[in-house]
Formats: sequence, structure tokens, C-alpha cells
Amino acid sequence: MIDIVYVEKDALDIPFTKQVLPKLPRARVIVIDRWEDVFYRKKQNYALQMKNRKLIIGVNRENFVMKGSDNCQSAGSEAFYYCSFAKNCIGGCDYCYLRGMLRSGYLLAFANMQDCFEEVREIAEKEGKTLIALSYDNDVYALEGLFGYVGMWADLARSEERPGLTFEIRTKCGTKIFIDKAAPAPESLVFTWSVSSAENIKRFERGTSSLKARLDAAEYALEKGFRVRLALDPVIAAGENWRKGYEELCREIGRRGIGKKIDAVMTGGFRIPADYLKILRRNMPDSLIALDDYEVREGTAGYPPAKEKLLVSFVLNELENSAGVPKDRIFVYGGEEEKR
Amino acid sequence: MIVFQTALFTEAEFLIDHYRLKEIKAGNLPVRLFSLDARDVAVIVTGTGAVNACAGVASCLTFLNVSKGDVFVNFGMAGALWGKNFSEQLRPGDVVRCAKSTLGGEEKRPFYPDIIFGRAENLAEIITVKDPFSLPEETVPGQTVPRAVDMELYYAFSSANMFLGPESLSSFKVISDYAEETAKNGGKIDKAFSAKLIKEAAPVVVEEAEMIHADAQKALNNSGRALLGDLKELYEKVCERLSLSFSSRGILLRRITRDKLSGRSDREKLEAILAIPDESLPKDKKSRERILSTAFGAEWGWGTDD
Repeated sequence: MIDIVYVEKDALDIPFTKQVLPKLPRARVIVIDRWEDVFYRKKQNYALQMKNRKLIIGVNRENFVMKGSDNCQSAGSEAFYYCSFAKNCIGGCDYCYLRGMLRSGYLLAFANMQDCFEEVREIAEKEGKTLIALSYDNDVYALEGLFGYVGMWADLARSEERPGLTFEIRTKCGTKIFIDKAAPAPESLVFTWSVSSAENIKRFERGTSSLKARLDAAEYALEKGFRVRLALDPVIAAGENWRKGYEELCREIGRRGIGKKIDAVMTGGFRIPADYLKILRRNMPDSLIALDDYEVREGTAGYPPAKEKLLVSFVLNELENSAGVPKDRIFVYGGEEEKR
Repeated sequence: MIVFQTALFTEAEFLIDHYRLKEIKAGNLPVRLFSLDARDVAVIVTGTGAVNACAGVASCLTFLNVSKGDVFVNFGMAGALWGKNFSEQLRPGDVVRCAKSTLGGEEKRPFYPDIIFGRAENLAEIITVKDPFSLPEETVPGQTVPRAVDMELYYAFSSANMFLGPESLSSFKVISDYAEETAKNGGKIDKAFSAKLIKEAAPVVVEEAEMIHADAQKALNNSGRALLGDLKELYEKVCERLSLSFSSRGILLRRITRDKLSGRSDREKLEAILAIPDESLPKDKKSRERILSTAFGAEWGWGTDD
């Protein structure tokens, strides 16, 4: 339960803030000069803040849209951007790079979405086949009840329909009602459900929806005419039975017939910028994933190449044969090999 | 440790009596410090104003060698600021917890203590002013926590934040007067009345501070070293015996924790390292660290990720 909301004074009169605050009637509102004053304080304890969430509503005065990171996948798009209008999420994944990247564990939501949309429109106009990822620094879908961002993006997507433009909302949330909220399905909006083996979800993705709920939601979105993707990313080889877990996952995707209907599947081994891994280990001393050994190559920590190859080829094989995903729709993380 | 800080001795009196503290005469401390080794509590009486608060807090926290798990609690009087927009008005005798500390009349970043430990009740913004006459004029539209003024808190927090994180810093203020009225009266307050209010509020603040401290201690249980549990001592002995570098200590800590969380104990490996006779221990550091590689059988080589 959020008991304190820090609201930047310039955000007070923005409709977004006026819609969010009544949803938190018990929270005390503290007006702040700038969101950075709270988010970037010295000596913050990320792990503690994550367990005791407060919300910061701010005004972003810098760029919302940035070039996509090399550690992420563009699933075949020529231009790849990510848009950051909210930071941190309500899930507690043991491997999340946000815990190594951000100084604060509090939820941060930007209220000036019109500025964000303007920036996105400009980029969409100048680029060709473009992917704009909307939820890398957060799980906005899971927080739709509070923020309403998904509805806003669905509206924008409907007004900005153009060939090759894709807005991607990635989530680990299995709630279906937010799909209805985004309907009718815009062609340029794609929902990506991030999935892993049921065992991995149970062990490492605390506070997120079950595999069943996520696949149910993905199926429902397909029924409603939305474009859907799955991200088996990162593939985590934890424990002796990791193969069995991924086998079962792919079999379930195939059994439900999702594999043939989806837009794309992204996969790749666990990787994280080496600097973030160090902070992640400090912030999550009990995370088995963070505690594991990795090799650092060009600033990114990940499985050693041999192990990475082994687990990715295993998952690829399962995706094609058990899940029934057509080859040309599978995208593997890894530079020029990204598109198979 | 709980470190209380007050500006005046009258504000500290109850705390000193309650914990039976003695004044510490050590070094060149510029302020009065009360503590007792066995009690794990200290009280700093800094005197009023910015310089006293900064110098007093910084010197005492250095002297006390505070670390994670310790908490800093400012306690004292504040004057209520009444504004048109507040639904909740503060009255003399109220005890509030600071959620925002600002510096009146100057363009300085406010400080926000994290309200994580203890209770998030009776929150207020505390504005530190130079004197009782330089009050902020406007209330803050949209803010639902009331405001009060004092003369030290911002500086005390600024100093304490050099040592401890925002979750370990808190301030409890007893509303002693209405700030606007006090300003009209030439800054005079009824000292006897204020002392009475302080005395009444102090037990409540002690209870809150102890709750905050208990929460801070509980949070320590999830730190890397705490997770080692019964292997902590062995781990430290091995680090010392092999004169491990900072980086290797980290790797070893990670390995032991990982094994422990996976239900395996590294006790035997650590004991075996400690059992190596002195004469068999290699002289150079690198070779000593290699002992760990052998013992732990690193899957991808020792230290490839750091």
C-alpha cells in the first residue's frame, strides 16, 4: 500500500496527477520542487524502498525517448527506441537490471505525457520500420489500474497508425481487464508477455503473475485481435531441471496454439551490464541469480559463450518443435545473429 | 545504536534520565554527548542554530562510529504554521514526524527522510528558519501534510546523511507554540509550558525511536554478511588468513551465500583452509587466493566476473 505520494509542484495541475491521486485516498501528499530531489538522494536503500513503496509523480524535462540498448532486442525493426515515462515496477524479479541501474526503489511516474507523445510522434515521422518499447523501466501494464498509461498509449497508437511502427508494452501481469481497456486493438500496438518456466517464475519473479495467468492473458489478447509477442528472455539456467521447465513451457505454448498465432518470440540468455550486476548484488544479497558466476564481455556480464549457446539452442529447438513457432518469428539476442 | 539529537538540554533531559546516560568527556567534541557503553543509546545536545547542529552531529557521529543498522533521531520543539489550505492544523502538544525538511528563505534542496521504519503517522513538513521572525509566508497548495518551523533540523539531517541513509534518519517534533503568534510576540515562548510538553511527549518519542531501531536491525538480517549465518566467523577468519583482496572477499562471500541459499554448507571447505599449516601457506597473495579456486572448484574460473 502506498502511504506517501511525492508530487512535483509543476505536476499538480496536470490531468494525470488529478486522476491518480484520488485512487490513493489514504496516502499523504508531499509537494516537492523536483522529482530528482527524492529519486536521487544520497545513500538510499533500494531493497528497503522496494518493500515499502512510495510513489513519486514528476515532470520529465529531458528526453522521454532514447535509442534502444544493445542488451535488448528489436525483433527485426530497423530503428529501435525505448520510451521511459515510469520507472520501477511492482514485481520483485531477482535478476532485474533496474535494481542495478536506479538509485531509488520508489515508483516514479511522469505526468507530462503530452510532451512524451509529441516526442514519439516526431520520431515515428522520421524513422521507417520502428519499434518503440514502452515498458522496459517498469511494468506499466501491471500498474494500469493506478496510472492508466496503457489506455493512453492505445489511444495514441490508434491515432498514429502507420506501416512499420510498433509500440511494445511488455509485462509479466496476467490481468485481462487491461486488454479490454486498450480495445479496439490498434495495429501498431503489441503486447509482449514475458514468460519463463513455471519453476523460474516461482523462484525468481516474486510478486508477478503465474505462468498460467500470463498465457491466459496472451490468449485473450489474441482473441481480441491484438498483436501478441512472447519474450522467453532472459533464459535462466538455474537448477538441474531447467531444461524440463523450458520444455514444459514450450509444450504449453504449443498446446494452447499460441505459438502459431503470435507476432514474434524473443529469446536470449541472461545478461546485464557488468556495472549494474555489482549494484544488483549489493541490493539483492539473497538473489541466487545475482550471486551466480558470469563472464564479462564488452561491459556485459552473461553466461560463458558455450553455456549460452547450449541453452539458447535448446530453447530455440523447443520453440520450433514443441511451441510450434515458425522459424522466421523467433529472434535470438546476439548482435548480427539476432534475426535467424 | 539509537543516536538522539536535541538542540537544548531541556529537550534531552528525559532521554538522559530514561536511559541513565552519563556525559562523555572525550576528545575535542564541540557539543555535549551523553551515552553509556552498555545501553547502545547516545544523546547529542548540540545547542541552537546551524553551525552547532552541523558541527555537533558530524563530530559525534564520527566519534560514535555509526554504521548500518544505527538510527539518528532528532527531537525537539517546533512552532505550528497555520495555513488556509490545511485540513489538519497542528496544535501545541501535538507530536509530529518529519517527512520533508526544508530550509526557509534559501534555495536549497529539501531533504526527505524515508518513512520506512516505524510508523508513518502524524507526518509534517519541518522548515528550518534562521529566527522566529523569518517565517515562510505561503502554504503549499496540494500538500496534505501540515508544516511547522524549527531552527536546526535541516542542518542536522544534512550532516547525519553523510553517515546514514535517509531511512535511518528521523525527526520528531513537539508543537510548542503557534509560530505566527510567537513572531508577533517578539519571539518569546513560554519556557515552562514548552518544557512540560517536551516531558509529556518524550516517552512517545522513545517508543517510536525504539521501534525504528528495531526495524533497522531487522532489515540488517538481509545483508550479505548476515545471510552467512553460522559461517560468518569462519568466512572472516579465512579472509584474514589468506589476506584476501577486497574483490576476492566479495567473490568468496557470494559463493558461500549462494551455496547456503541452495542448501549446501561450505563449512568443511572453510575449515580445511584454516587447517593448512602456516609453513604450507604460499607467501604471495595470488597463490593464496588460488587456494580458494581449488577448494571451491569454480566452474568458470576464479574471478572472471569481477
